[in-house]
Amino acid sequence: MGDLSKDVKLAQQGDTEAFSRLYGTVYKDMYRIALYSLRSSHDAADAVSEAVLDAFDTVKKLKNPEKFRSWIFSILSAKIKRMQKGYFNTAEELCDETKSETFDFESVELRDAMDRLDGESRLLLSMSVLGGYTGDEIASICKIKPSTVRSRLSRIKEKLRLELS
Amino acid sequence: MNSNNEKVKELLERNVVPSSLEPENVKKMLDEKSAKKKRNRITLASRFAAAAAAGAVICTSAVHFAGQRNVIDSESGNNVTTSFIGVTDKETDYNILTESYMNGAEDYDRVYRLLSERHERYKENIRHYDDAENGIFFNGADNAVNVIPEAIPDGNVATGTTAGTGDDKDYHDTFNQENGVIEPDKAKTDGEYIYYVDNYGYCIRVAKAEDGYFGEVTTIDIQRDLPEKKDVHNLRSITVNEMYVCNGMLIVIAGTDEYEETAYSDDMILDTIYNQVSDTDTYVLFYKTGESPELVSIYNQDGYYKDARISPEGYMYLISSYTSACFENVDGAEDFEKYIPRSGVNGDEAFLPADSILLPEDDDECSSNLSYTVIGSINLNSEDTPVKTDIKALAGYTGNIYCSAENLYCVRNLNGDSDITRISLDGGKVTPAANGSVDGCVNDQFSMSEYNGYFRIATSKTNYEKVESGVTSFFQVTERYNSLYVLDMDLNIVGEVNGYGIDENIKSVNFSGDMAYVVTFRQTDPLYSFDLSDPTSPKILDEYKITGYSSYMQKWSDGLLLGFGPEADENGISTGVKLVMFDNSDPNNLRELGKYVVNFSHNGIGHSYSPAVSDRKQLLISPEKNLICVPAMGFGEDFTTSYLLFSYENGTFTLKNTISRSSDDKMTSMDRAVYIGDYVYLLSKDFFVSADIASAQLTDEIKF
Repeated sequence: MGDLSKDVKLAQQGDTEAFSRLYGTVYKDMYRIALYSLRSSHDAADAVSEAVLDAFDTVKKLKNPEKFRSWIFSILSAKIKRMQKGYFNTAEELCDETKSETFDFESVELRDAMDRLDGESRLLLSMSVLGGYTGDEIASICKIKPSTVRSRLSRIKEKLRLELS
Repeated sequence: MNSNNEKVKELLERNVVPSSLEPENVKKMLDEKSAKKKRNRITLASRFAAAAAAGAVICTSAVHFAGQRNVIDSESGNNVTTSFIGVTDKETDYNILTESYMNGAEDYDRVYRLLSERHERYKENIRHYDDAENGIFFNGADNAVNVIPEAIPDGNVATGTTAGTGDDKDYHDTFNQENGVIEPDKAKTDGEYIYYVDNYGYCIRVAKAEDGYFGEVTTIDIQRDLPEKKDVHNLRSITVNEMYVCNGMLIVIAGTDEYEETAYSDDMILDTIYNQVSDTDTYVLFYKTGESPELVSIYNQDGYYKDARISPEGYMYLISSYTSACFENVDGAEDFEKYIPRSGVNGDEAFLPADSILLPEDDDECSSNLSYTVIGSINLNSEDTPVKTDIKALAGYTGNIYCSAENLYCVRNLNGDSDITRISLDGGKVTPAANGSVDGCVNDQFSMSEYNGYFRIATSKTNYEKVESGVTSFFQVTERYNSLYVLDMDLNIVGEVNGYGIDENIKSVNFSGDMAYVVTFRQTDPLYSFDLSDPTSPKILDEYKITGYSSYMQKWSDGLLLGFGPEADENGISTGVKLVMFDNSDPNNLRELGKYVVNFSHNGIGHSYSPAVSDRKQLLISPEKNLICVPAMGFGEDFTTSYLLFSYENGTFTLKNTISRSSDDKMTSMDRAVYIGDYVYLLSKDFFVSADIASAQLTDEIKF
C-alpha cells in the first residue's frame, strides 16, 4: 500500500477523479468478493456501485488514509450482507463468468466445493483469500465475532482441503 | 506447486469486472448521480442513527496510568478542510492567520471552546441538507467505520546509525532528504544484522548477514512488549510502523487500536459492531541490540503515527495525528480524556499541559471533532534510557511535514492553500517560531527545502467550482497551476515563480542547493529546472518534456539526476515503469542521458506494476555501489514478486537480473532492499534473499 493520503485529501474535497484513482486500487477485488458472495453479476455490480456511492459520501470521515482499503471493504461487506439476507434461497445456478474455458479436473472439484458454501462463508473466504486479511481484521470488516470468523474459516478450509494458515 | 489456496484465488480472479465498474465509468457515475447519492446517504444515515440510539458511543476508559491531571482549559477544534459539505463561499483572509500556532492555550477551557465552536459551525453548515445527515450520522457511528489499519509502508530504504552519511560505512544508509536528519524505515541494517518489520506477525526479524549468507535469525515480539489492553474483552489491532537502529539501540514505532464489541440492531438485523475505544496510541519501544535484544523503555504518545526524525543533535522527534472524540460525546470541558492528547514513559502518562497546545488564530473550520498534530521529542544521548524532553500539539491541524537540521515545518492545507508553521528544534525543544502562507498545496516532504536561511516550497494550486445539481452540489476542478516560493525564516515570501505546468500537477520535486527540479504531469512529463541562487528572484531555466512522469527523483551524482516513475504514451496511458537519467550539468539545457522502460507484459509476467511509484522507500538507489533496485509485482498465472537489479554506466541502464519469487497463500511481496558490502539483500515478511551486487546472482535465501 502506498501513500494514498493525497488522493484521500482531494477526494474529501469532492474530487471525483482522485476518488476514482483510489477506487482503482481496490475495485477488482471488490467485484470479485461481491460476485462470489452473491453469485449474481447483477447483484455484485449493484453492491459495488452502492458501496462506492456511500464511500464517496463518507470519505471525509476517513481519518487514517492508510486504512482506505479495509474501510471501503467494510462498506462493501455491509452491502453484501444486507443483500444476502434478502435472498430467499441460495442461488444454485452458476453465473456465466465463473465458468472456466479449459477443463481442469482439479479445479472443477474445488470449484464445486466452493459453490456449495453458504453466503456468509463465501464472504469470509473471499475476504480472506483476496483481501489477505487475518481473522481479527475480517471480524472487524465484516462485523462478525472474531471467534465465529476463526471457526468458520477453519471449517471452510477443511471442507476445501485448503492449508490452514 | 500451487496450493489449493492459490487455486481458490485464481478461480476468484478469473472473473472479468464489468466495464460499468471500471474507474473511468465510476467517476462518471459519481459526477452524474448526485441525486441518487442523496437517497443512499439517507439509507446509510438511518442505519447509523439506529446504531447511535442503541449506544454506539465512544467508551469512557479511565486513564490506566498514573499521571498528573493539569486542570487547565483549552479549546479544541477540528481540521476538516474544504469538506464536501462544510465549505463556505467566503474567501479566507490569510493575513488574519499569520499568527496561527504561535501560542499555547491559557487553559483547557480555551481548547474546549475551539472544539465547541467548530462543532457549532459544522452543525450550521449541514443544516442545509437533509436532517437525517446531521450530528448522529457523524457522531454515533463515527468510529464504527474505522477499521483495522494495514501495514504502513514507508519511504527510503534506511539503515545505519549515527548522523551523517558515508563515513566508513560500507552498508546501506537511509536516503535522508537532509544530511544528518535521519529518517526511519521498515528495514534497517548496522552492517552486521538486518532488521525488518513484519507487520502481520507484529514482530521484528533480526537476521545476521555476512558475505551474502544469512546466519541466525531472531524475532522480537512487539505484541508481547506492548502494554496491556485497556479492557481484556476488547479487540486490539497492532501496526508495527517503522524503526531506527542507532547507537546500539533498536527503536521501534508501533501503534495500537482498541475496539469494543457492542450489539446493535436496525430494522433488518441484530448484529455486533466494533467501536473504536479511543484514538490510536503510538508507542516507541527502545531495545538494546545484541544477541537477544532487551526492552529498555517505552514512550507513548496519543494519535496514529505520521513520521519521525532524528536530528544531528541526537533527539528523536515523533509526529502523530490525534483525533478527539466527537463534541457530543465529550462531557464538558473537564472530560479531558476525550479531547486532550496524552504522552508518557513506561506507563506514567499525563495530559499535555494547556500551554503546550498551540492554537490556530481566527479559526473558521467546522467539524464534529478536533484533530491535533502531536510532536514529541526524546533525547537519545543519555547514558541509560532515552529521556522524554518536550512535547507540543497543534490543535486542529493535520498536514505534511518537512524536517531540516534545525527546524520542523508543518504545512496545513487550508482551502487549497498552505499555511506553514516553522517549529524550532534547538536543543530538543519544540518551539513555534514563525508562521506564513502560500498558494497551493504540497505533494510531500520533497516539495520543501530549507537552505542558507531560506525556506523553499513548490506547490500545486487547484481551483474548484461549486456545481449545483438538483438538490445538492459538488465540486469540479476548473484550473490547475503550480508555483515555487522562497520564504525567509520569518516565513515572509521574498521571491516566487507562478504559473508553470498549467493544467498539470506536481509529481515530484528535487531541491539541491541553489537548484530545484520539478516534474509536473498531465499527459507528458515536463521537468523544470529552477535557479534559486537569488532568493528574491527565482527563475525557470529550462523545461524538458518526456513521456510518463517521475514520481520520485534523487541525485545520482554531480550533473546527473535519477528519475523513477510510470511510463506512458503521448496520451498519458500507462505502459509500464521507467528509470531515466537526466543530465543537469547545464541546467539551462536539460537532457536525457539514458532511459529504461520496464514493460512487464513483454516479459510474460502478464499484468504487472511497481509499488515503488507510490512508496519510494521500496527503491534502493546507490550510486556508490552502482546499484538500483526496483520492486515489481505481477499477476499472471501465478502471483510473482520481484526486484529488478540495474546498474548505470556510459549513459545506459543495464538490467542485470530480475530476482523473482512466486508467492503462495497471501501476497507476500519483497518490499525492501538493503546492501552490506558487496551483497544486496531483498526482504519480504516471509523470506529474505541475497545476491552478489557485481554479478547480480543469487547467493542465499531464508524462509520464516
